[in-house]
Amino acid sequence: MARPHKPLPGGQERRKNKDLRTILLSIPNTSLRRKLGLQLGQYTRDLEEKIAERNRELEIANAKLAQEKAEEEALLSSIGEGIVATDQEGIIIMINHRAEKMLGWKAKEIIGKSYFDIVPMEDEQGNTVSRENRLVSLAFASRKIVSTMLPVRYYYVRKDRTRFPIGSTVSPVLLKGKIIGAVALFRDVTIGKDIDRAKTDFVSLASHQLRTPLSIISLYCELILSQADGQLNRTQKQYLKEVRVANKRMSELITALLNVTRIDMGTLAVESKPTNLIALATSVIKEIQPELTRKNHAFTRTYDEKLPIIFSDPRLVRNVLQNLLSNAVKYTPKRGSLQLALKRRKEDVMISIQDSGIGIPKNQHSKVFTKLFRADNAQEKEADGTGLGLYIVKSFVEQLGGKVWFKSKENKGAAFFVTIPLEPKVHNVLVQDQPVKYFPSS
Amino acid sequence: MSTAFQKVLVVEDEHAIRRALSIVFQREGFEVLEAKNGEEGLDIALRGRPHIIILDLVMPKMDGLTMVRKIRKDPWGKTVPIIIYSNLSRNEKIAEARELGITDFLSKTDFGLRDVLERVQQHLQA
Repeated sequence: MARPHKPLPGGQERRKNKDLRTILLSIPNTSLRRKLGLQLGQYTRDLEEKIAERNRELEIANAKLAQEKAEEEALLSSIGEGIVATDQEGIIIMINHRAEKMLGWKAKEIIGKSYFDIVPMEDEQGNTVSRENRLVSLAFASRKIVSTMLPVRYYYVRKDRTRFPIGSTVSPVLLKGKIIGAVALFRDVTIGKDIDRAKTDFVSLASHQLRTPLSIISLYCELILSQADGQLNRTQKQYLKEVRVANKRMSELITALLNVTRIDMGTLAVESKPTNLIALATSVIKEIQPELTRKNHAFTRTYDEKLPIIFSDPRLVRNVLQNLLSNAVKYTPKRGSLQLALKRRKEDVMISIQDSGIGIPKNQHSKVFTKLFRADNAQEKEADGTGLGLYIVKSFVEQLGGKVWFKSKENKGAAFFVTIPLEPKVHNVLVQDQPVKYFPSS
Repeated sequence: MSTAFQKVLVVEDEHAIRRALSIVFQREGFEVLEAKNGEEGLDIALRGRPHIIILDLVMPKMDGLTMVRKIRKDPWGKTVPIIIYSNLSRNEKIAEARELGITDFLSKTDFGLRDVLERVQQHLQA
């Protein structure tokens, strides 16, 4: 976008030549004067030719620049995404046509004004996102590219105060390592939201349709086992119990599959509310108690006295506890020892679940959280298992803003550790590695 | 207090589930009314005035919560105990159900016939 070069002023040269002619005429030696005259004439013609040539080059260069500028503008305005560029203070310095249309502002109305003030960002509930939690500020602070990430949905507020859901990526612009501004890209994801809605409806429907026949099987097993319509012999009772166990397994499998579907579709909703970890642990332990007793495991629990009520999604946390504890019971041979500990840390609670079970072979450590993966020794010891449990655990924990990891040696037990933040992270954004580096043309 | 001669309404679109519930309640001496969707359920409830209602959520014609909203507008229906017995895996409807004064919320996955019966007896004795 440089300024066009001015052609050199050829006319002035000619005037200078007039002065030269006067000087020339004052030379008394005719032959010398003639020689010099011819030579000067030649120089002048050469010079003029060179100037003309340079001017032609400049014209071509100017035309090229104008074309590049037009191309750049055409590119910026034809991009389907809104683009807003700001300086290091968040002052708008450029906005493309698409962004003007989406936001309802004209470039001339908002250039030079603060992006944070002109385009407020809101969360689902309509709370305005504070300046320090805006993507632009996060990009400045992290010096990295940041993006909005589902399932948390953000909205931009238009000039007319209406709002639309956005997907956005902001890149900081660095010049010689210094932040000089940011480029924000955003799109209206209204249509995508409708698709999400359809996906969620599908999962709900599938869940209902798959579960109903299982419920019927379970209820009629119960009716027969109640023996109100005739006594059963021992073998018949046993057969029916097998049906019920398989039915329960199927039901759990459906729950797992639906959870995986939600994770993979990105429609897993996190609903944070006051969550009592001890109460959740107690209810999960109650569930696994029959197995603990049957296998004669020693089970110890250590709960931190200062364990606070955290603000998280109890449904997801419960599922994590349930998966990890039932794994521990399942993959520990009879008369093993199991430990559950809940410990308050600075910004999170750490859940650790240890067992003295079959452990995980070293060469399979890297695949433990992969979908459908089951370790060789696990497969050998326990035929039933979906390979989905730990994948769900990892996805849920990450969705809650926490971390999960483990330590294990084959036949030496396993210890799984989970951290759950005391409160959900304020901003739910994806931070990528590469900032935009800006090299000005010299 | 005996729960014999008490009237229970089962609103459930799945024939087999409706039948299983009816059998159990009849055995215990309840008078059982049946409805196969919310619309029918509302009509039978208002005319038959059961002591308690067992209600499915996802049903054709009128879903369970719509039926509850309508029943709560009736002077008699304002206080009738309602137990939701549904297959919705997620507790998405629980908040809404609470506001409508639902007595209990049981999932079909985790609760069997015996459990439903016990809950009903508990509520009627309370």
